Amino acid sequence: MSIAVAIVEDGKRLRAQLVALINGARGLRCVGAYASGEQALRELPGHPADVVLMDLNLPQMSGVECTGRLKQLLPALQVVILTMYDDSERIFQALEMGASGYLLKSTPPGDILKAIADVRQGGAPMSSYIARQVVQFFARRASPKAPQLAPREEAVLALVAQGYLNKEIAEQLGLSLETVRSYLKSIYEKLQVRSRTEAAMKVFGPSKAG
Amino acid sequence: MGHALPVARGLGALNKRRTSRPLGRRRRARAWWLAGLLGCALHASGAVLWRGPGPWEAHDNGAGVDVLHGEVKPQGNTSSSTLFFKFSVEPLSDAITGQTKLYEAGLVLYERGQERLGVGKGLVAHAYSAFNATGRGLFLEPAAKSHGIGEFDLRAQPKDSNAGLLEVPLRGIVRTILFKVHYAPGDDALVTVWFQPDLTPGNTEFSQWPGQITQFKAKAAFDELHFCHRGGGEGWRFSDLAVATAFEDFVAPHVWQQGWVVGLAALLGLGGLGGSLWLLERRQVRRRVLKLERARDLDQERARIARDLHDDLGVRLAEISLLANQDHGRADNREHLAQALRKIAGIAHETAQMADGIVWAVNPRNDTLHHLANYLVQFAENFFRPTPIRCRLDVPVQLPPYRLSSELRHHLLLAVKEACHNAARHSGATELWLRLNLAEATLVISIEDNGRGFDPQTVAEGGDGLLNMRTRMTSVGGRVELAAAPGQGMRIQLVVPLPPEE
Repeated sequence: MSIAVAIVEDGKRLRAQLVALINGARGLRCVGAYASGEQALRELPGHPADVVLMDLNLPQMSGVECTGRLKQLLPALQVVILTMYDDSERIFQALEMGASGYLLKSTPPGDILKAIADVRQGGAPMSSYIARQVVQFFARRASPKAPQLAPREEAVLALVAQGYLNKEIAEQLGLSLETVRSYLKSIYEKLQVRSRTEAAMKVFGPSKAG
Repeated sequence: MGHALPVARGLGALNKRRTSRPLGRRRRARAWWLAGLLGCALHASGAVLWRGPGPWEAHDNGAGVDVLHGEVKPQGNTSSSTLFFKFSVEPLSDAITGQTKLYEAGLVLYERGQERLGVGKGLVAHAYSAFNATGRGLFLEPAAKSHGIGEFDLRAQPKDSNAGLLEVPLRGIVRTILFKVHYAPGDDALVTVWFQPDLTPGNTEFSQWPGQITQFKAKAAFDELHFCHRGGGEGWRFSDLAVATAFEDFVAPHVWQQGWVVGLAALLGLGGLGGSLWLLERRQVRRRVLKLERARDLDQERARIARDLHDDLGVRLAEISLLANQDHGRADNREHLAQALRKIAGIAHETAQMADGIVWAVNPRNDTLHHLANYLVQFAENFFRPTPIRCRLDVPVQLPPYRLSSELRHHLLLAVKEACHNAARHSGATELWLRLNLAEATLVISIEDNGRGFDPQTVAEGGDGLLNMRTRMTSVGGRVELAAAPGQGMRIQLVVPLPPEE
């Protein structure tokens, strides 16, 4: 079964190139290419995709909001953020909204395809850059009610932030690679659970918070 | 007089504006005074301490004679100040490689009868050089290293030219040399030389072309300045000597910074106000001074961005265009085409990263240490991912809220990029650490690898890369520290004092 990919990108040429890249890759097919978040919300549910490549800088509805709304409509959908440059606040907001990773637009095409496959396989790829911000996030909003990271999760996160690969972390902590991956996944989930309410309130306003 | 400006109308003291003639005349006098004030304000950054137009001719004159006559305060080895020296030279005969008659010529600093730093041409060197330098050259090896006499070739490569890095003095070719001496108490002074600096309006010591900058250490205490020529040839002619406290003092002012333009502007401004209140005038003038200063800062910033866009993006895009438009006549040769495409992809990727860096640096939203740390982590991680080097990060997650200017972030980012490229290309390392530390308002970013390293005593490592890094760091008031040993990797530290915390 090939992976169904959708694209939300307002740049016409880049959109066309991404479509060509996806359709030219083995095991991937493009099921939709949308020029705006509004269009994606309207049309994507009718053309179910496994993974969406989401531009952050969209003309009206932002990529962050579109990510949040899509995840509400289609919780199984995996969203990968595509962004032009360092935009840590918005990248992180999108992760809080349920995005599974981010790519810079300058990423070589091969790595874009690899990232799509990784996300689809349920991996929760976390870069050091994101790990730093996750640490910052949990330090910043320490409220006793919200889920905290377990000591092991914190240890894994600290090593990711220092640039260690999952495999190296497994060796250092005496864990299996699978366990390290599951910790990362659980970190993402806690991040989203913790932030979903606050972030949703921020983006949608209290009435639509869910 | 009925045309009072709406702005002024609200002021209670407006009656005073219904003036009699004498007052109007007084106002005019005030305008001139103000114009003078404006002129001063614009040039308040430093001052030319002394000018000696010359010319002086020196021909085999041994120690020469003092031309300064005590006009500038002597500097000793306890001084901690910075002085800029500028002068022009005209060799009266060629210095040709291999000629038997060696000579030495230049501006020489003398301290209590002792010869200190000389800038011109050393005895053994064939090119423009400095002599009596003590420290190892930061950028170049000594010109006559084997002779051990502390001569340093001056980098003299014109911008946009394929000419060599050095220049041999030739008869009748006039050259301007500007050098900065940064005195450090108890240590040798740090000397920076600009060969043929660009002194047209808007330039600064930081806007100069790196191919014409040389740095080294020397004993540079002085109480006299001599023009000397010793040895063969017809001698040298020197002129336009000046000593100042800032590089900008040698830079021609913009048209709008010139006294008469400012004066005229102030006058016109005052005329336009129809002779308004003294307070109002003063406020206007102050505002105008601020505006001009801001315009000048903005000008420099714009010049920097333009340069970056040209050097970093323009050049690469031109390369791509050239590659794509090459004669692909051998279109049947798939390998040839594939190679060109791979190259194009590589350069395009680089260009995109460059654009990313420029946009990031220019955006004022990123003006904090926190953003710098995040960006460096993101850059290093992405940069080393496709390489055999594992990038480790030792960057504090929480950082104090320092504000960093766009310029500082830009130079730090490019210096870090340079160090990373260096490591990827030459180190053969398997692991690299990017560290960021903050101690007493001094930021230290270090790039450390476990590669093959080098022996700093024997190898002039880094070349242009290191030169660029040093130029960048110097331009933001920082420095580069290098530690390496054969087989033990190397460490590059970028050290920069931070502005006070807000």
